Amino acid sequence: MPSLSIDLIYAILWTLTGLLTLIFMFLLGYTFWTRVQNKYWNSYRRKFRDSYGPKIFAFLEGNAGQSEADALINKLNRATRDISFFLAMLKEMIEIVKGEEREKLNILIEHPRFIDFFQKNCFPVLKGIS
Amino acid sequence: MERINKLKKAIHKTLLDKSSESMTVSEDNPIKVLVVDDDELTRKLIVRLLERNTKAQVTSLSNGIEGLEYIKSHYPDLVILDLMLPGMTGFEILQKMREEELLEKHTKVILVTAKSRPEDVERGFELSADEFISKPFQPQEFIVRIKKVLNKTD
Repeated sequence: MPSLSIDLIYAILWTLTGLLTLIFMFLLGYTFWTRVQNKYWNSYRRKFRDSYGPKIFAFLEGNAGQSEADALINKLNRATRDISFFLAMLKEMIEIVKGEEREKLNILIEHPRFIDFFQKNCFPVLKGIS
Repeated sequence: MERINKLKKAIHKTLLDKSSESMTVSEDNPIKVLVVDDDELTRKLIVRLLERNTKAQVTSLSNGIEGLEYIKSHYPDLVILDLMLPGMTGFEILQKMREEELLEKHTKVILVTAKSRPEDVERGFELSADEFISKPFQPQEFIVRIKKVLNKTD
């Protein structure tokens, strides 16, 4: 009877060890995967900002009109990530420039493509209503 | 080592006294400008504005300690300093520059900040800043103010 209970204890211990090892391996893999992902997106974001920063500056320096805004925004990939990065840059620019340049930023911010983006991503519930 | 640095400073000062009575932005004698701002977009915008509107030789950094080290070793003609910086604030840099007599005659300082409280402006001018620009700013006005500071004689 005592040997049986020891066997049972061993079995439980082995099961627990196995389970914990599995959990540990999963967490390790998950940590590694998220780190790789973060590294990739950080590098992508940096490249995106390096590419679009000068384009936004050039837009502000030029005769910014609707057609120029269209040309700039049409260069953007349709991916949600790209649009988010672009909007984040516009938000930062609002805190840097004022006056005429700030008004030019409004042309970009109020672009129909972003309104469409917000409607699709932020207000999916409204889709069925309208 | 300290003596060599002092000697370097003295030589530099003498040369500046002779050559730049009035610091005008010219192609023959490009002025050295250092931009220290931790905000990447602000830094890039200021560098772009300077490069497009002046013939200045512009260097940009994002850290206060690195900024001070650069100032000590390169003696820029103009430093555009953000107040809130990692490592060292703009005020601390200005204070150090004042203590080490880096502000005497040559290096001019423009403070740029998003938080322009009256006491900050006052403190900046007390520490011998030449101009105080608050964010958001209008790019053309920004350049005019920079040129005004550069052409100002002591």
